[in-house]
Amino acid sequence: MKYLFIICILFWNLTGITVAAPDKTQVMELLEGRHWKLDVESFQLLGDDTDKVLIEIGGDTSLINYLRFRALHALSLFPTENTASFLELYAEKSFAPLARRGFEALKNGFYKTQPQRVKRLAARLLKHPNAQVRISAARFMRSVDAPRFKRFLKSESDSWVRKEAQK
Amino acid sequence: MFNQKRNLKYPSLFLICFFISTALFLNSCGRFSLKDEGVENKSIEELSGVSSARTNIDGLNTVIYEITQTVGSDGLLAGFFVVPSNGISFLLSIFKDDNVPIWFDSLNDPDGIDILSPSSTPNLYNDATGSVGEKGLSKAGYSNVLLPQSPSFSPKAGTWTFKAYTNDRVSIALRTGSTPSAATITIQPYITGTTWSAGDISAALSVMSSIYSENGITLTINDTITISDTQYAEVSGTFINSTTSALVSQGVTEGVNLFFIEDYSDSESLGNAAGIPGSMGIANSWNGVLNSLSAHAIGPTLDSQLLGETAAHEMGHQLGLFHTTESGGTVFDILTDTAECLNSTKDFDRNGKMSAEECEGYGGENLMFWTPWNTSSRSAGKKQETLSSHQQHVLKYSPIAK
Repeated sequence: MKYLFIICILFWNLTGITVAAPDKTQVMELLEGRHWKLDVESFQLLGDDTDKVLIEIGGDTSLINYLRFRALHALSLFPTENTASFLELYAEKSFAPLARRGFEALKNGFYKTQPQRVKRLAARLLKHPNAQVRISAARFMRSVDAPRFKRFLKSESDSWVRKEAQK
Repeated sequence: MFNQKRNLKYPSLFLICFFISTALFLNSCGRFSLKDEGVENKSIEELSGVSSARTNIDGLNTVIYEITQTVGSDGLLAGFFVVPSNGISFLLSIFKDDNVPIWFDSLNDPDGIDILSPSSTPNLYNDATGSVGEKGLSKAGYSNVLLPQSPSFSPKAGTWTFKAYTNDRVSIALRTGSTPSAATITIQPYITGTTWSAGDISAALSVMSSIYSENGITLTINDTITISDTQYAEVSGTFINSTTSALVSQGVTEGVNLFFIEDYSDSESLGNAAGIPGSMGIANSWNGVLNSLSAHAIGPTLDSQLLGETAAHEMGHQLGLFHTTESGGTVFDILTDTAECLNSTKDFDRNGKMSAEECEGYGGENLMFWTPWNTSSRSAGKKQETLSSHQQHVLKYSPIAK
């Protein structure tokens, strides 16, 4: 009876793992398409541990970028600590297209629960060498810290960036 | 008696009135005789409701002009144009400068059939951006009707009439000449940003050229123009965005403009066209397609095969081709010879999305399938390079082809 109980517990755990961690192929399929929009419902159906698969895809330098970009975008649906750390890292250390997406995913996923964390990252990205990253950070800053946004406008040398940030 | 005296008093006034009356009479006689003669022997300028100078597109048998519109008793704007007996195709475009959605109410062919009405057979209701309908086709600031959008439609010779909602102008690009058996289309590539240069996209342009050549269409690809202004490196995928509009408006009028941008600022698409079809022959916000370079890179290297397929796919949209099968497997293009991949029989993993792998043999190989092959299929050499006979027909008859 004791062994049967242990087997049942093991079986239950394994089943739980199967449901919680989706197959990478399943996730990749949701990232395909020439034109793509985040399918919130389909991603949420994949289960809680989907963030682990998305982090794996987003960080895989051997993969084509459009899959990595979309993986970062989708991570905003899974606001775990792992997700936040990953997005912060990529926003600060990765090449510009991933950096902007990392910031935007962090903003979308964590603004309500950890606004100060998002704001700290935005403040650092206001000096990013890529204009679109600065614009994205500045737009967020405009909504949470108007004086800091004004200081950004004064220090920003590109007039078109100042204009875009105010849109 | 009194009148006689007056006429005798002012003989010059009498003569002026006489000449004006005679001129009006002869003018009306001319109109009647024109009607009797038919349209075969008249030029487009003589026959059409032209309100602007006609522009001939360089190297093509296509003319572009704006059409005079008058306000009807129903409050709609009405206009007409005439297709001569050697008409090949036309693109009727409607514009609204404040970018609110705009479309036609009706478009009647010379037999009086409204091809935008759901009760006509065949019709383009819901299948042309310029038709009323709620299929989700973008109509913001611009929409149009292309003929032929399939071989079931032809630009019949004679007078076409339309009614449209409040707009700023209606223009037509009208192609005439002999029936095309092949076609040549001019391509003008542009590249933005600093990460990649013109040489990096030449392999992709070759892939695109090869795809079209295999399908009976020759591409004349101009030298790539580099746009160095930093604000165009990353742009919005929305064509009414002011920066994207300023970029695309730089395009040439005699061909299809391909903008290879470094990245989108707000989209995760591989590429997108300004419309299905987009504008042709007029420099404006809808005269080109965008292709993201960053999205096609693995590390610093571009995937030339996929980039070439994307550019070819978006160009297909720009010229009027729809996805053969949409992602859900329930919506298909209007062409009768393109394979349909049905959700009910082919969605093997039941995830609601039709992959190219699930649709192999059912349109997955078509250039206009909604999604490319997945990474492992592409690594195994799978390509999307085919176009059906009807798809080729639409391209060969395009107002921007010769």
